[in-house]
Amino acid sequence: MPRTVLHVIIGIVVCAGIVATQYSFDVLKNQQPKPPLLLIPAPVIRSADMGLHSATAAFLWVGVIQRFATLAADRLNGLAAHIKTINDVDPKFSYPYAFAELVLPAGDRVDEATEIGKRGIAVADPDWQIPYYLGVDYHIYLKDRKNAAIYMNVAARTPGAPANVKYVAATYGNRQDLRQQTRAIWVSIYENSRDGIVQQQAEAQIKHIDTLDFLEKAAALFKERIGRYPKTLGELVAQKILKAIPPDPFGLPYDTKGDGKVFSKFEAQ
Amino acid sequence: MKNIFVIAKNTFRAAIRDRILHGILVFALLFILFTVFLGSISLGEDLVVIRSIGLAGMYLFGMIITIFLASSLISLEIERRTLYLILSKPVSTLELVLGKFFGLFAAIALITLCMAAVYLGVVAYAGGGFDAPSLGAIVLQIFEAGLFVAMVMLFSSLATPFAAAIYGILVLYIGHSLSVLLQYVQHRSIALKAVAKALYYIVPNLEKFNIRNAIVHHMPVDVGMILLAGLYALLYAAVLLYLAKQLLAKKDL
Repeated sequence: MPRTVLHVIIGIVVCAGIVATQYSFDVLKNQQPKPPLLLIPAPVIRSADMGLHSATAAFLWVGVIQRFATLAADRLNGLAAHIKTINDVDPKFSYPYAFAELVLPAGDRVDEATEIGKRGIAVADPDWQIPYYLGVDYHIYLKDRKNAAIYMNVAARTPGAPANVKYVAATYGNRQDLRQQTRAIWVSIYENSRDGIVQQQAEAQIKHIDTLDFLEKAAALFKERIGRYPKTLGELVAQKILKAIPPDPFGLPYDTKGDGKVFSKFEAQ
Repeated sequence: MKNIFVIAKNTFRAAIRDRILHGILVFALLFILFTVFLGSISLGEDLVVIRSIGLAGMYLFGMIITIFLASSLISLEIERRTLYLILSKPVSTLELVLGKFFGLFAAIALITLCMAAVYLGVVAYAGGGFDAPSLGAIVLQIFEAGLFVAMVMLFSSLATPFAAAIYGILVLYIGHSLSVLLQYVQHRSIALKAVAKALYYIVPNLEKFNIRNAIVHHMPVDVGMILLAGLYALLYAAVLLYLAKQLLAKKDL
């Protein structure tokens, strides 16, 4: 066999071996538990980063975001601690504060979110998102309208706050329908954020609210036909008003008390 | 075989006698010793800090030394015309490339083991006992260094030492970012996913040699993964050395 052909065959076999080794490694790796992201105390980082605190904080932030991008509840474990470390390395780095306020409450960590948010308002670079998202947390999760209004007004007065954020802050509490108030807040977040994760979260919230409205309209139609509201949402399907109950973006079940109102865990009562 | 051994021995001697290398090594050892101070200001996390920063420091300095030594390995020989002397003897280009590779690889392995000895001493001093799991990380670092030496030698056959060093740093960075790249394109177009997947398999995937996080968190490491990583380094280095040999043979010296 000519030497060149032999070399080519050997080359192909070796390259195939490289690909096969990589593939086998990935298979084995996926079976292993993933180690948690290393949390080095902020004083250590600050003493070792040669004064490059903002660059180090940014670098840490990228690592944290890569790690927690899927936002599954179990992945939120440790996110607050990592964000606090980043904030300690560079207290003026504003976005981690805002991100924590939006993401942590989804994992039942509202207290941590508000603590981080309040610290951000005090020490970070002026950023309308920090007080605004803090107001959102008070409105949706803590049902504290007074503090929600206070922080939304702080956001509206922060330089750079978009027009629709100022509008939401100005009309907050004036709307009779709290669900539509909440929807307006999420729409403003969706339109003003450049972060894919935040937009995803806002979009899911808007879809959740729209689905509740949709189911209540279906319940009203049920009453027109049958003369009473449905006692369960299954009756809407049984009476062929809906083909199926639309899925909730958060995977939570919808329910009704037979009064035409539909609710789920995140409904602002 | 004898020629390979002779060239390797001379390359090894030349590498370990380099004064700039001694300077970098001393600084690396001082850095590892410095982790004791960092551990003392870590709010009770001293062993975690010492192990994580110690292993990271060993790795970074190891790569700096590798790039420094390997980037000028072939190109300086060409520049100084010493390569002609060697090739005028009955020494094939393959024997030259393999001899250079093994000599440099042995030097870097020795330097890594020196740093490892100091690191293990520091961990023991800090109350961590003998850090046996770190040996896995050190072995993988040596495997990675082998692949990296072959990579930078290839660049050294093509370009100046400075350019070879820059290319090496770029490959080092990209090689550790491939998983992130793949994750990024998950929700993008099929064409982009295909390109990313191709890059994932073509560019040396260096992240498989990194088990430092798992070591620091006392997580078990599959021996099969270490063996696969070693096999990967061997196969990839073989391809790179073959290409280096072909380029050198075709070069108009």
